[in-house]
Amino acid sequence: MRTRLTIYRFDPDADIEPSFKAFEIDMESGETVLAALIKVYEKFDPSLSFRFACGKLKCGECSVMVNKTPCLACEKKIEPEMTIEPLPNLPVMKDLVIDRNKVLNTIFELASLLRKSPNAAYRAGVIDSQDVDTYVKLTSCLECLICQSACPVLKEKSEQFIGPLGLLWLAQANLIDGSKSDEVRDLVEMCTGCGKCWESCPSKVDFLEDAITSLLNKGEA
Amino acid sequence: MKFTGIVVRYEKFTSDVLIIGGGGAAAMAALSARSFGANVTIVSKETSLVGGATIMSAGGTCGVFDPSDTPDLYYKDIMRSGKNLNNPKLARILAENSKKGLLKLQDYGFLLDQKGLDPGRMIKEAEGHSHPRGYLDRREGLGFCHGLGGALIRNGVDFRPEIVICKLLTNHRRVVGALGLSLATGDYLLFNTKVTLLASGGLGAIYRVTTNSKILTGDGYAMAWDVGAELVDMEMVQFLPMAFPYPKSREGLNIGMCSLFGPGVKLYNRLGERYMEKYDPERKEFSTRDTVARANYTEIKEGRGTENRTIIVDPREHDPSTLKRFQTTHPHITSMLKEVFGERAALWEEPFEAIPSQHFFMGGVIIDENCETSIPGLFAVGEVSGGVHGANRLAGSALTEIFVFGDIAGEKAALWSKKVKLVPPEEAEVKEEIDQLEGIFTLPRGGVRPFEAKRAIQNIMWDNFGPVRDKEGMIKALAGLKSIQENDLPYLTLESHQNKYNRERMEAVEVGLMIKTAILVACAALSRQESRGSHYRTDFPVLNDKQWLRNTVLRKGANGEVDISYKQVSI
Repeated sequence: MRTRLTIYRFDPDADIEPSFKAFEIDMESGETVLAALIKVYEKFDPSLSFRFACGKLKCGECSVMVNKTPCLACEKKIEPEMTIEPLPNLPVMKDLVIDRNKVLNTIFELASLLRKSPNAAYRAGVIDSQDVDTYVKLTSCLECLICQSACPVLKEKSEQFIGPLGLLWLAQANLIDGSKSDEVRDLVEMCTGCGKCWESCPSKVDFLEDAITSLLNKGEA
Repeated sequence: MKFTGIVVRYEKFTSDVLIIGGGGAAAMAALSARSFGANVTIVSKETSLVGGATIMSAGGTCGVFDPSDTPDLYYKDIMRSGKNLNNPKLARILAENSKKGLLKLQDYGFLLDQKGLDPGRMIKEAEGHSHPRGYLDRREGLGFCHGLGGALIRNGVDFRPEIVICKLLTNHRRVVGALGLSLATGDYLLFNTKVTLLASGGLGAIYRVTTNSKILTGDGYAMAWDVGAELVDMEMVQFLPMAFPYPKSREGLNIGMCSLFGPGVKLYNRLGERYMEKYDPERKEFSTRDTVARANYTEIKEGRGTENRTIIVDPREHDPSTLKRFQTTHPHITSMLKEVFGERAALWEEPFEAIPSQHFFMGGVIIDENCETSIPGLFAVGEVSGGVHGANRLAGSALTEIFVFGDIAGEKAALWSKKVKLVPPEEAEVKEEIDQLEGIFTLPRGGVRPFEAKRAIQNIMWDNFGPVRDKEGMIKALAGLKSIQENDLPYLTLESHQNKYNRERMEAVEVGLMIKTAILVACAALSRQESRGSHYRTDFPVLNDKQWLRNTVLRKGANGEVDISYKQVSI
């Protein structure tokens, strides 16, 4: 299949503004966007920056936006015309690479609860089986950051809100820690329940059901 | 051409313990070292807090949980699978601490999949195990990674992502740290530390077809060899029998072993022959994984594969309950079967194609029961270390190794660091290494690109050091590898010149290490003139305990050559 990739290019340290560069390449049908990006990098433009590690649907590092839809580059199949951009609403380091550390550090700073170690009650092994099932679902997250980029609240309030990933982590911490605090409630209540996070999640983690609702319930008692 | 330009400045970092690698073993060791009061820095090539091969794994690990099981039974299984090449002390430690190692995760705030610990859920058919002892986590390896990742944050581990370590640094033969290159900024980073722990994982990416992530280029073996450490069993590479053959982005990913498809599954070549009748007349498709891998590889190599160079798997004769179970325990593979071969194949109503694939590496840097190597200041843990698994790894034991030895390595490294002073690296060595790298990165030398050299290595390894080897092939291949090292790599040319996110530079560093690791595997494979465990050669197809009950040990000679010696096995 002949495919045309129009790729976002931007180095904040060197360019005044972003631009797009187009490449036409031949790929086998059924190949992935990641394979196409690698071909562009190897054969046409080695200055293209993009992220990947496993290349096989597990590590979550290759998330990008293709034709305005966020996805994992190693999962998304190529189409004849593709506009490839970094995940929206997140700080760009270069081209398709976003600043993960900044995103993750913001979450840890706003939710200091996430830095606390599990309490004694947990170590005593008192966890009910429903919680285990929920925890298993929550920890299927790939940490690809697609949910963070999809969240409309985070788009406006990136310095005050921890976003869907933050809420996911809080829910996990709450399940094993069981502590209830005002901090949790304040952070959770910024979520408007729009559902954009789990709509775009490649792992289909049910944020509203498993994370946010459970946090609100635990915070109540 | 030598680069004699300006001196490049580098940033310095110090720590008690430096861990090179970003998988499960690194994380377990970091947490253990922190609990003993050391300050710990992890340096990883990726951004995931815990990634490496651990994040790719199916999540099965071993533990002595069943009431009628004992560590001694597990130990015997480990030694039998390893064909007695294992270091018995290490195998004993693995067996005795398997349960403790897994439960340790709870101390780090990781919630085990309780249903997985239920004896009713343990799988017995894990090949080579005399007792049911597999703990299967529904989240697979990803679950362990996220649990440990959270623990790294909570315990104040200094985690540094997207850095490729180029070389271990020494001072009077003691390892004192490492030189790294930041992928994000292009800066050189000097890590000066009291203890260096190699946890850099396996070498799947030196093979064309592998289940491993693309960054598992076997860096650690080469770096350890370079500073004079001893390596063992470098010929022992584990292959899985059935993996996806296409498309490129799915090539090598595990489908599963025959037993998962039930007793009715059959394998065919393009001539319609049920060839397993030849390779194992008694057990046929239910032979050991390595025998089936060998069979599949041979059928394809000898021209009896399909036009896609694959073998055919026919799962049509099966019990509906077996299919249901597979769909529940392997939803990921089921959806990939559908994606690659279509709905009917995913429902086992139609045959599909497969190829064998590299998966794990049993050999590595020699360690003692404290995870110390033969070089002062250098420890090793996880897949980069050798001796635990011998000639063939038991299913599930790789994750067990992470939990058990990761814990030990962290403790011992931390305790060691309390007894020594921080010694700086030799400035001249650092400058020379940076000069060399700058030369590679910036001088147009008219040769191949890093990715081209990588492909060449991967093809040589797959074609000649796979599940089936022979003398002619190996000799030619070793010459081919040496030619890449002597004729191609000195003229490596990069076409990207930015500092920021220059992937080609990371690849240039990787290929320089990959070639050394590949040559070590090649030398060891040529040297062992028998077949044992995962090492099989057509010119010496039989196990020969009389002459070969010994380990191959590799070390760097005075002129940089590969010195091979042998260590008798004591039973």
